Amino acid sequence: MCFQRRRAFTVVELVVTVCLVALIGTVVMRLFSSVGTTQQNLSHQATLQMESRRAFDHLVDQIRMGTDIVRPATGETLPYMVFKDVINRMTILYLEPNNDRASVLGQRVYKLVAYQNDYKGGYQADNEKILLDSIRQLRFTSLSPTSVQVNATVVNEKGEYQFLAHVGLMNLGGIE
Amino acid sequence: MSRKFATRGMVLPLSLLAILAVLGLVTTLGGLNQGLRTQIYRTNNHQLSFLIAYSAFSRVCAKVHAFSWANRPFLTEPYTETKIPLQGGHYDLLVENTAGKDYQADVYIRTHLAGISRMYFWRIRFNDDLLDVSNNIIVELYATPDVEDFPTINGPRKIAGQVEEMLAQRAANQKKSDVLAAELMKSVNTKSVIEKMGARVPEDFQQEFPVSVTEEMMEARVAVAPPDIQAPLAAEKPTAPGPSSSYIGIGYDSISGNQINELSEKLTAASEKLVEATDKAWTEIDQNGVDGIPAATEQWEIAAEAKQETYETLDSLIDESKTGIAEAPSIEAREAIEEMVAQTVVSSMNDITTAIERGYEHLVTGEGSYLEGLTTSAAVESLLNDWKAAEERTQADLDRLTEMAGDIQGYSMTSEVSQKLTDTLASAQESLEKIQDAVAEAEARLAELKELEAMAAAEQAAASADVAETEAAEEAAAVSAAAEEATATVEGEME
Repeated sequence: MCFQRRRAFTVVELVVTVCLVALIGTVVMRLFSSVGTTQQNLSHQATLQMESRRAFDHLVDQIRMGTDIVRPATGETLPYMVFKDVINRMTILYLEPNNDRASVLGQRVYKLVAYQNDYKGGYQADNEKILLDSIRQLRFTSLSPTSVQVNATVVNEKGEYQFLAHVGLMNLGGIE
Repeated sequence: MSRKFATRGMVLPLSLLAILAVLGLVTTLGGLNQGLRTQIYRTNNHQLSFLIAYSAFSRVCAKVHAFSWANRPFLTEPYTETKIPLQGGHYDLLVENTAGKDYQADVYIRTHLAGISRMYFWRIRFNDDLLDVSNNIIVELYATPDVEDFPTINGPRKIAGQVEEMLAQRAANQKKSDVLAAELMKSVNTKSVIEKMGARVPEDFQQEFPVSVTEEMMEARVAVAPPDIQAPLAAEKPTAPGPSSSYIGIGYDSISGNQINELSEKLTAASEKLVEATDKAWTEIDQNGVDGIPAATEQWEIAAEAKQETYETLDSLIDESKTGIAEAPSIEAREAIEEMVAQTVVSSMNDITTAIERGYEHLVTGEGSYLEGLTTSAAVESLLNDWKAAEERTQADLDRLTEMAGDIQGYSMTSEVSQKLTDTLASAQESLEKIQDAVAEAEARLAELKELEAMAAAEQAAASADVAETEAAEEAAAVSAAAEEATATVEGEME
């Protein structure tokens, strides 16, 4: 008859096991937490890029349809731009302080506003569009009478995204 | 057995957990990445489509250049290209003459990239100028219509109609936009620009946030106020018959480094003031006669001052132009200065002669009546003295104008300006002759009046002598009678 004595875990074994489990648990928890943070960061940055690129596309399309740059003058850099569009309406792109976003981000943050004057007189709410709502800085440099360089920095909680574009006007001719 | 099971029990859940964690991470990041990539891809495609279309458009422009407008590929029928591969996508093209307009063409381009089609439209104007080859093709209008609007050869031209409307709308808004643009150009701060645009003026931040140096610099930046360049006067346009009162922009002459423009401006103002004051003075006389003399005198004084200023400024301008011409960096720059100065000087000389003429117009119409109305030689003599003084002044003006004409004789000037200079001197000469004729007539009238007055005096003297003789004879007769009476009385007493 084989007598097999059943041994219990020793204290050392238990301590080692508990330590290992705790260690692995901590690592796993940290990994999950890190994944979550990374995901959130990437999500914010991706959103920032997507919004910036969309706004950039919109901005470039608008400027490209222009016929004359009124402001800035050639060689000048300004934080706003005024130009005439294809039917001679006047459009201004300018910055408006965004207090809500500024409070969240703890810095001066602006909205990029596009307003079109169609000569109906007075302020027309329908003619105003917000192209971006978290922009930190914006510069328009007129390089020639028919082209402008746009330099903008867009921000959110997780970083900044800067774009630089050289946009040429497409409508250059007069009317016969 | 149970020990084995216990070991397995630890590993399996941990392995599953790890696998799940990794899968979760990969899935999340993969999805996120894919989303971002799609967005970037679309954004890039949006720009890339435009580049494809613009490349196709440039190829059309190159063809027009290569074949000349008279031999353009779309001379008789629309020129088309279909599914031409370019930069990973392809494009369709249709170019045709703009209906009803010479030297214009409509370019329709439809791009296909990554399954998305986009449409672009250009209306171009051909500038058939061999001397301006870099500016042969001018874009009249660019638009991004719907893809469905891409025309077939015999199909409708939906966009063309819209373009006409847009061009009409553009023309209708042209003046308003020009006026607003001119206003905006004068504004140097953001707030005034936004106000003039009719947009909402933004309020400042409600809280204090740190401001970077670059931001501070940008906020403090004042927009450049460009020089106020006015449009040329109608008479100054190339199609006009010739220059009128000159317009020279305000500003420092960057070519010659002197103040020619400023002096020209001053000169124009002074000569125009001279004409205006002279005209007002004579209008006053015409309307109110003698009663208008005090008011007219004031205007004449203003005119005299303006004339003096005109002459002084003319001298300064001619001197200054000589310096500018001597220092001109090129023949073209020298000719530009000469033409500008000549035009301004001739214009002011013309103003001077206009002012002189204005007075002598009055002289011609009223000369006869003046002289006939004066019945004494003293009055005519007084008038004659005034006219002689005017003759001297006019002679001096003519001499001075002739001298100035000599000063700018060698200057480069347009044929119109040259003709105007000749006309101006002729006009001054004519005015001199008018006053000389008037002086001659006044002298004749004076002589006539003097003769008449002499005759009248002689007659009066003769008449006086007769009276005296008669009175003497009467007195002698009386004396004789008295003597005879006395003699008779003496003889009677003696008897």
